[in-house]
Amino acid sequence: MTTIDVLNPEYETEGPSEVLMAIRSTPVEPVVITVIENSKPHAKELLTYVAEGLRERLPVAEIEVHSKSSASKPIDADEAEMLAARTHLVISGLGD
Amino acid sequence: MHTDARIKYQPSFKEAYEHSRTEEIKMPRQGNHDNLRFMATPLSLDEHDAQEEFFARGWTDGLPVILPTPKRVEAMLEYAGVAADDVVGTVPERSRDITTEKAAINTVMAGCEPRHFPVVLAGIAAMCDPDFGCNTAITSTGGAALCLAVSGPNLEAQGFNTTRNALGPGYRANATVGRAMRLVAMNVLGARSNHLDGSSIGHPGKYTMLVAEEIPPEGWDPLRVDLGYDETDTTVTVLAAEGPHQVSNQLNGTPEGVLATFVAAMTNPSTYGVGKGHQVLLVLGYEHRRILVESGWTRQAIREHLTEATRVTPAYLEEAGIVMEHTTQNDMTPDADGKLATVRSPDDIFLITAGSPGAGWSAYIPTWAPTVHSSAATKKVQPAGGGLP
Repeated sequence: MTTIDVLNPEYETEGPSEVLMAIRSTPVEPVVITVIENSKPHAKELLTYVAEGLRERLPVAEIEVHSKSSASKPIDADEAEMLAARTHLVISGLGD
Repeated sequence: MHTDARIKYQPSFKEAYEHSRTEEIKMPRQGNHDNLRFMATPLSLDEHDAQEEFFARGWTDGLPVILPTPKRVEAMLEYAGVAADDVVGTVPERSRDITTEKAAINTVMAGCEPRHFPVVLAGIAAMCDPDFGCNTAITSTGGAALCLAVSGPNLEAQGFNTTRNALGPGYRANATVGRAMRLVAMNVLGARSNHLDGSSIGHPGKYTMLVAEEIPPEGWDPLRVDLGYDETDTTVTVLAAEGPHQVSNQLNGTPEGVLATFVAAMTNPSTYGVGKGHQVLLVLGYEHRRILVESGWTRQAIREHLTEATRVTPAYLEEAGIVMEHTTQNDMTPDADGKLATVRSPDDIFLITAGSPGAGWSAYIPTWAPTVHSSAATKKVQPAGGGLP
């Protein structure tokens, strides 16, 4: 058998040695939850419905829906900072 | 000011966020060019079965590939003057760097000559421009191709076909450079069918899609000059593109008639970006550009005319069954004139001349989505040994 040496064309990386879960803690009051909708058609309606469901089930003071400017791109640093400053939990959601 | 080295610097949330998204783009690693050491996993395969092994591992686009031996990969890196661990681009949403080594492996597989590797590197760098939105462009159900528009002073001598069958087969450079882009997307970024490529239909341009600009007619600048580059530069512009639409007008010898036919092509309501502000690449064939040039139309005048003439009313789109969107990303509320922009600015129309004489054919290549999702990006091609674009 004649062999040929080739190189792997795929992305190769060593995965993280350890993955830690986010710290679980007792929420401080008032708890604010933000749902980020991706701005595709009907995403806002769908995720607003989900947000209202959360409000009925969880002891939260406020749930807001934040719309991205484009489904294709992440929120920018200013948006992330703004949401982190005023929100205890952010849920990223999709709709189409 | 004395700083206690034991106290770790704690970045603010914003700093940490920005760092995570841009660090690799701003600071590509530069390796030791004198010592080409490979980082990719080497495999020893039975030479008779190697091609089938590549198919079995999902490493091809469905066509056979050139096997990426270390010697062939090294020839690519040496020609471009890059080290194996140089990073040519990053897609932050996927936490993936594209090293020159992985680019070279896939470029070998595509069948490229080493002299075309700098063109591929420029294409990858453009693809990783944040404005291009690579993550979505190679994922979306819309099924976009990575379409390259190459503009340079010496393309024919470099093996690119700019004339007859400009978008067709038969030329290694045109076929393989475009193919290398897709193989990189598949193998390095994971854009494979049933994985991270969610194309509903896709199109044949996803195998390879490249148009090389001919030397423009006298009085007209090439695309690269339109984009602010020097006449002597070679550039690669990448567009996330639908398939090319052939534009036929064979009997009308007036510039108004030719442009009206382009307007008809560019306002087909079934194209997603019509009325939503996308970008287009127009490949002007021989007769059409001759009529326009001889009538005194400048490239800018053509772009301005088409920008205005392709504005459409909601009623026009609704008649074709299109539903007006009023989302954050696509607010199709008409402007004061009651119309919607198909292209918002003349700068969103990219003009290239290519093709050969023969009746009256051109091509219209729309991007797959509005600019809020993806914009074309351009990079300069480095000369041999010139390093990263």
